[in-house]
Amino acid sequence: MMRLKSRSVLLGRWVLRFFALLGDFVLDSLKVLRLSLTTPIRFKHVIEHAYSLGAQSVGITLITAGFVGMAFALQVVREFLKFGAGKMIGGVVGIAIWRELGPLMTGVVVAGRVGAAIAAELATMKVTEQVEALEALGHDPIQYLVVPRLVAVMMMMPLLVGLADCIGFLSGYVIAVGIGRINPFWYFESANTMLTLFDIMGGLLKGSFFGVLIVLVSAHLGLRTNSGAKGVGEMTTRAVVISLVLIFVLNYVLSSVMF
Amino acid sequence: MIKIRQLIKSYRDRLVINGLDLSVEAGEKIAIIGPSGCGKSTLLRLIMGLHEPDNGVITVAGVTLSAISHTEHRLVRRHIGMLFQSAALFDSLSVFDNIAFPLESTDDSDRVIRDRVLELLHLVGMTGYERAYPHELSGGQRKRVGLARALALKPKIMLYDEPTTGLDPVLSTSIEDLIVDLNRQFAVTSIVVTHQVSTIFRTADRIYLMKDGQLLPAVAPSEIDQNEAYRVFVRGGLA
Ligand SMILES: Nc1ncnc2c1ncn2[C@@H]1O[C@H](COP(=O)(O)OP(=O)(O)O)[C@@H](O)[C@H]1O
Ligand SMILES: [Mg+2]
Repeated sequence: MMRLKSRSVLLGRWVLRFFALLGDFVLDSLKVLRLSLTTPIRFKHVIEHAYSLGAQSVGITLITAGFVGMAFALQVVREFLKFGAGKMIGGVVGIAIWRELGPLMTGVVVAGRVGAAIAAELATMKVTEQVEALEALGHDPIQYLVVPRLVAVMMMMPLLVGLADCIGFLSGYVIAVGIGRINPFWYFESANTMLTLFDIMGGLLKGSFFGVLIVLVSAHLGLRTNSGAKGVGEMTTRAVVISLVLIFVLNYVLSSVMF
Repeated sequence: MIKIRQLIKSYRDRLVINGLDLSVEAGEKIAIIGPSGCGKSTLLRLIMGLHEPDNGVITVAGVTLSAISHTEHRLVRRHIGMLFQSAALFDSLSVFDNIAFPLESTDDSDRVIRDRVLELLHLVGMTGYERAYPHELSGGQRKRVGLARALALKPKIMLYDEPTTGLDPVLSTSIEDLIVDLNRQFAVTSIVVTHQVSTIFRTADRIYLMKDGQLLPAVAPSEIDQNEAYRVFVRGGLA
């Protein structure tokens, strides 16, 4: 009985703490979004971040998209050829990539690369008092540090997703034609008939949402870091893990609403 | 210049500042000593307006902090310079850009800013380092640059958080000399906060010991040994 009670107390505390943290996150995020819309944006900083954060992710996005596109096409080719549906392979690969795989892969890559970079950078600034120095010198840390990164990542995400889409689709082509011996014409023709503009734009839009999510989570956790170098590492890991989980959840929600 | 009444501040459930009173007149120089973790940095952050107190009143240069808006707060802050414990230089900016940073929100031309930065570098003995980055500097050099940045807007009040902690005795002395010199030259009101009580008293007219979230009555640097509580803290309890 005692043990049961102490467990439920523990659970209660845990739930309370969870909602307190969630509340902090929501409040911070609302502030970021409000400041993005109401204060002048430092475009010089946006360009710098877009360049450094975007450029960091191009290589790994290409590699990931290439191999995932090939692996996916391999499975589709085998099964579809059994049913004599080889003409549809391009369309199926295209839909899967533009709607789901492209945005999701890019989200995962950017969470690992950019989310970690943002969390680590802001956490380091926090524990070395640079964030307070910024405030002491009359700047709002969220406006100065977070808003330009948010705008930069929002701009970069559709570009990266578009890149991943194209590379994924072309890798699928290599497999479908090279291994499946599909007529190249049908690969593109089926994609052309089955894919709509909305599929493509929807996928790019999803990518932007993932970008926003990654920046909000990483910046929030980075700026909440309190305890030295150990805290920086912990918060960076946490930022990536939470971003990843939320991306998968948000992806499902967006997919079911959009497509 | 600075008036604090019945200040209370806690983090979560830990009470750090508990009914603290302090009054510093224009041009006065005081030091606050106390063990690590007793709330000295917290007090400076409250004066700077970086944290909100749970209760109590802080008046800086005639302005009551709790009564003003965020924007006005920023204006008040421009009259206060703060040297952070870790110097808190911006890693991504060169020494020059660090010192120029507060000046960029003024209307001054690039030419004026440039001259001012070079003048400040000279003042803290760091001429020639403008292109260096913070990670290339030693701890003492970083403090000097942090000091130059804090002085850039010609503040009326200077807050020093552990200015000599972690520096060797020779460097400590040179930073203290710099503080004494600058305080005199610019007639600023200053508060030095430290747990490392070596020779920091040279920078202060009065010394306060922080205990249980309050300040004990002040003593003059020469009276340390006459006061039991101060003597125990400073001399480690040995008579
Ligand atoms: N942001 C914070 N959140 C929670 N606790 C804090 C925070 N800042 C300081 N503290 C705690 O408050 C106490 C006083 O800290 P501080 O003012 O930095 O002390 P000092 O500068 O005298 O060493 C310490 O116990 C510290 O752990
Ligand atoms: Mg301190």
